[in-house]
Amino acid sequence: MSLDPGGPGSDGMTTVTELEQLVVDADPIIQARGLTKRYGNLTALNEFTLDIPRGSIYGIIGPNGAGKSTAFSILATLLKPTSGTARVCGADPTKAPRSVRKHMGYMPDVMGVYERLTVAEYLQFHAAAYKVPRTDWPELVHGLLQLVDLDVKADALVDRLSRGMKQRLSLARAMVHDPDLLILDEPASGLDPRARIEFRELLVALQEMGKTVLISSHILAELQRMCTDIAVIEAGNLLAAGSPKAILEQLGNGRRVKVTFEDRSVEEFSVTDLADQAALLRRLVMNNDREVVEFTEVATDLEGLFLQITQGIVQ
Amino acid sequence: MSALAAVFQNLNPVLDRELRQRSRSARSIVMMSLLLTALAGVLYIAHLAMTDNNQFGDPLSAISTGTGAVMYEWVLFAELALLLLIIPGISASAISGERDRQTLVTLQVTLMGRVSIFFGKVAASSAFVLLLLIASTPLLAVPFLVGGVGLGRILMGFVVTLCTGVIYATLGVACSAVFRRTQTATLLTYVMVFAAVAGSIVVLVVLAVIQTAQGDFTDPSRVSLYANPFVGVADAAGELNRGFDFPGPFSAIKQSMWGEQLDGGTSGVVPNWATALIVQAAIAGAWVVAALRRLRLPQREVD
Repeated sequence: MSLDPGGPGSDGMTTVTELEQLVVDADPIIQARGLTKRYGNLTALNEFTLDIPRGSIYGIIGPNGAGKSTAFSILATLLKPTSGTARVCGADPTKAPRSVRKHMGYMPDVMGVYERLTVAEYLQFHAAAYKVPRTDWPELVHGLLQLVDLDVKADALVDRLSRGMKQRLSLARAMVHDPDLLILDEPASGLDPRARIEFRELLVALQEMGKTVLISSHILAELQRMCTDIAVIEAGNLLAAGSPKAILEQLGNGRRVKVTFEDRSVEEFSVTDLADQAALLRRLVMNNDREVVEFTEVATDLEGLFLQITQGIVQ
Repeated sequence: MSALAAVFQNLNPVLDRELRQRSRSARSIVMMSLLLTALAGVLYIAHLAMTDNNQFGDPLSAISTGTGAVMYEWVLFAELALLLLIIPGISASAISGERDRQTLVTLQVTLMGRVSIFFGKVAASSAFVLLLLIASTPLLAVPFLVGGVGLGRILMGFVVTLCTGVIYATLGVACSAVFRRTQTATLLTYVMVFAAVAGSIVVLVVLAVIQTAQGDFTDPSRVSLYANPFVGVADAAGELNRGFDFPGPFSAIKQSMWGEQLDGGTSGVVPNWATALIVQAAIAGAWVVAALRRLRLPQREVD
């Protein structure tokens, strides 16, 4: 093994630097361990433990008051947890918030705008706040506005933009310092269908650029289309985490089948696995009361999964 | 790159943005116009009053030595009073306004520290105070042209008024950081301005009553008056023992504060106006500490 830390191994062997990079890449970009946040008697977040792999689009879903924004606020260095630890981009958001902010872009659920500031000035202001050298601003602003498809609005006043444009601008703002991680709290709320589709495509493009995206949303279909992984949270408790498929398998009772009988009546049954599904079909066919004319598996989407996992608990 | 260009390129981002926004706001122009109109009115009334005094009062009073000084003091007095009314309005929404607009969080998660954010806001409010003062300099120049007031005295009055304005702007910004709601912050800043102006006099009266009740007929300590914004400016802009029938407001305050002392209270190492500014800055400083604590992240509760 080459010990030259300066360049790639010309002899086809892996250098120390490359190995270190591989280790870093393999590390989850977010590691939360037992994060708990209490406000008096209310537990907003309870023992939240989660690893978020680099390069993923990780969706957090849960009803209002589930603890999503609390978790995001802790990870985004805004809120101190009552207990538990976290590492975000290799640093502790409580003890080294500045190190986290260097590598993390945060988009809160509500985008505030400054009056009497143009779109370009808005981004320049945040570039200055992130200590981006002034000489880089023109190219940076142009590139970001092109990415979020707002380049024609560079000289428009921010408070005159539509909601969808403001959301895209807010995303551009979160990226002015080229962070590795984007934490987006309900970014698609209030957007019309076209704006939502454009926003989703934008996030997929960001993932392809190597960014990790942590996103919360109420619009479950949106998350299903773009997320590589999801976590379901309710009443401060993490109920499930992983890929939607893995969660279904983890839950065991994820399969549902729809059976149509000869009298056109339709019934749904829950089955645990394929064997159980076959056993159900055999039972129904053997039963002489009603003839089965159709037997189909119901595709479980994120919405169905969400309803299965959560109980509608409101704190 | 010129030095001035370098300064502007390295400006605190919050200050840069605020200056840009304020320069595009009609509110700033309206506020400045109203202030200048009011000061012009005060200047005219002071001039009329002094002219009447010269016509019907003591005909030997020299217009060249008395009129200009009194006009200057009244204009500066009115300017300070108006600034104390304006400053809470422009400063007490500095940070709470960001909270209201939901822009504070996005600012706090940048690499700007809380100190930089806070003093950027203070600098922006102070810059507006400076702008108002500079805009009013032609009105302060009129008494100079009339005569009776020196350039040094005008400059001293300008500088101490500016420092007083900066201190109260700092107080306003600190209140806006400490209190979540803009209305609360603004109200509290006005209460503190009122406490400094009227409360310092009330303290003096209460001390006098207590001393008299105890059979002590000496003058009570006037330390509380150093917290009064008019007292510091009075020392810089007023004159002792002028001997006119109608001294200006600052000369009257200065006379009552230090007139009985043989040296006019100037024997100390620190001038009276500086002592007054230090006392007022110390009060504002306590609020700055509270404000910076409030802006520290991560917090126990999200704003």
